[in-house]
Amino acid sequence: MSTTDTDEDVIDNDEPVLAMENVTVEFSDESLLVEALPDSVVERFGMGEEPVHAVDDVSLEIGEEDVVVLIGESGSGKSTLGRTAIGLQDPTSGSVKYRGYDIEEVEAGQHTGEVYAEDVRRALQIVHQDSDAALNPYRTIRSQLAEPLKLWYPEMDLNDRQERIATMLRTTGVTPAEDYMERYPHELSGGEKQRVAIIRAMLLEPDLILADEVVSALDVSLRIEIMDLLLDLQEMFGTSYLFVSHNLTNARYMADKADGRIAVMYLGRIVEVGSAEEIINDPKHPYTQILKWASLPLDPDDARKTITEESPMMSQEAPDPRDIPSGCRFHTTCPKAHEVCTEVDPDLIGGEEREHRAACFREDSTHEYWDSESIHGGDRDIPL
Amino acid sequence: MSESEFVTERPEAERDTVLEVRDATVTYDMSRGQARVLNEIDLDIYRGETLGIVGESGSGKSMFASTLMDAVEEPGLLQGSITYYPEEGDPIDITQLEGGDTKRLRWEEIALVSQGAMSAFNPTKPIRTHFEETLSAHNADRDEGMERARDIMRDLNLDPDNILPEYQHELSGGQRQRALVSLGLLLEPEVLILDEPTAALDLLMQRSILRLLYDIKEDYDITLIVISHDLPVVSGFVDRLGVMYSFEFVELGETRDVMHEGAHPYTRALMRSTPNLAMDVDDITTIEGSSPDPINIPSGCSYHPRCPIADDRCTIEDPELIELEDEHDVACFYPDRARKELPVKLSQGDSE
Repeated sequence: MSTTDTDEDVIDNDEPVLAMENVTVEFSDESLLVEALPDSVVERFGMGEEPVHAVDDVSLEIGEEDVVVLIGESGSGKSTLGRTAIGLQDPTSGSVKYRGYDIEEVEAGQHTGEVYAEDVRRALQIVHQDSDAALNPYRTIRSQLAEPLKLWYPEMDLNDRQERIATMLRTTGVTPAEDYMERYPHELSGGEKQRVAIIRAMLLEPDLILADEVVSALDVSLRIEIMDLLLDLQEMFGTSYLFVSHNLTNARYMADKADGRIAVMYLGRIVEVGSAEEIINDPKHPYTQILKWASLPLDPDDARKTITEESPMMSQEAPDPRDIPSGCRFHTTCPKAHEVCTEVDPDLIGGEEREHRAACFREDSTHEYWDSESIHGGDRDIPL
Repeated sequence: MSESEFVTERPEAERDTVLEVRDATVTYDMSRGQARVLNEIDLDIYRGETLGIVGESGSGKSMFASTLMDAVEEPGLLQGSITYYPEEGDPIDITQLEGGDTKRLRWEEIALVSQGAMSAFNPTKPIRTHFEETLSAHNADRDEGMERARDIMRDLNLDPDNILPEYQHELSGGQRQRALVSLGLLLEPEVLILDEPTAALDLLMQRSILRLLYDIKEDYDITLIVISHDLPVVSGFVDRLGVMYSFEFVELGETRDVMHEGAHPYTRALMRSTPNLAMDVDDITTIEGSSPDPINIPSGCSYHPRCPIADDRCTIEDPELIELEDEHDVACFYPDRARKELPVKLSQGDSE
């Protein structure tokens, strides 16, 4: 490719590309009055709003050439966790480590001489859902792709830069590359714009890309194309992905093809994590089972059955993230909730970091759950 | 002998037709040339049926919805005829209506709930005002109308006392979508068109909206047309399914027939390109190439550049949409080859 070596590994150690340990992210949405008053007054009169626990005590590791798909509904905290993973959002507590180095410490200059904030920023990139917002409508594709190269590789000359962009466009099937380089975003289709956004992130050869709902806004028939592109690029560059989706069918395709994992999020927690095969064919957590049940099958008879059969959910409205239920946060919706679930919050059970785990007492055959009364007068089945 | 010689002319529809589309074409004159965004569509929509329309972005499916209400935007030119058959009274050619009559028809007879539920309510007015203004614009009794609105909202699992005073930004995506459907049903239309009814909704909300729409279809005396790019959203829902490609229908039939015995190579490719949980991931594949430019539609069968079984004939001759089997039409010269050479497995244990 180019003569400039852009693939220098800054850090060469056995630490995972990214490790999140007990990460919690809270947002508080306080009015100006509350902010202006002293804390003691706010507390005395109960004026402060409860902070929103967007992410609550989550640990997750992403390895070399790894894929982790975060799946969940709006408000599950999946995007917040993703942004925290790549350093766009500071955790309220817990740590995010890039190859063993705490990102916040690196930003504060605590590891000068070993690793710099710039290294981490280049290594952790993002592709957004909305490529229209991500691309500048007034600049050509060439100029938009050249920009990150100029910023990160100032020593690279014009010819090298052009060559590198053209090569990248060709490798990803955006041809004729010379023609596309001169176009403006409005001259591209939705799928092509998303390709350009992915290429822009990939030009820096990052170690990890946060792909935040990158296929959700696309036509169904284009989703496979974009996911295949990500997978091809992974093979070429060895990138890891944190792929965020609200759709189980996309999650399964991505994780299965890449031999990665799916982490299911509910109200700020990972409630189940495992391989695509484990999550799809052997879902353990009642929430994962309900997500699978609600994923519409292609077969029209099966799809009609899914649409018409009675919902196994005990509540149709998702709980308020400001007012998270006690105990297991899924218990208000869970058709298998027992008394103990209203009091005790389950941890992920079932093994080590890379094993299939679920945060449900049902995974522990000796748990007091089994002697505890159902809160719905009997467990209900989740049709699968 | 070619396969198409075995098929016969389509018999006159015996069912009760509510909308009859004949030779509907929409063109735009652009500096690059003439764009044909709807191409000679013939279609009968039956009273009380649910018809699904699927296709990629830019296949003409939303344009088709606009056409049914004569709502093609300037400078687009609609040619052909759209005849509406009211339950009582004389048939009306929608394309010949003027001003006030068009307006009356658009909400009272045929209503459209459009995609992008975000933009459909005026953000500066509470939801209630949209209902009241719709009623007064159509000279309907306000008290009676608002009572009906409340009933419809309750049928859609909405609490009218909570929803009506709110502004759209105060509603969740699912609530907003259901409020829009309520507004669409307010004047008791004969036909309700839903364009991407579950776009941008979470998985569980999507299913729950489809469930409610299914109940609406059972409980209300209405013809439903559901448009989506997402096959599973319509496949479990509609009685009949039309597949659009390149501004025309390439396949049309009972949903089960189209899905289980799809005879157009595009229909089969569309099914294989839809992410799902049942197929082996290696059997889920993208459709090579891209959909045609409306200014430069390929000669012959417009799908031929992407079709794995196309031959010379397909590059020259344009196949008509003709009846292949009872109530199952397809626009392909080689439906048997498509079925044999382009396997699709819809579910595990499906022998096809």
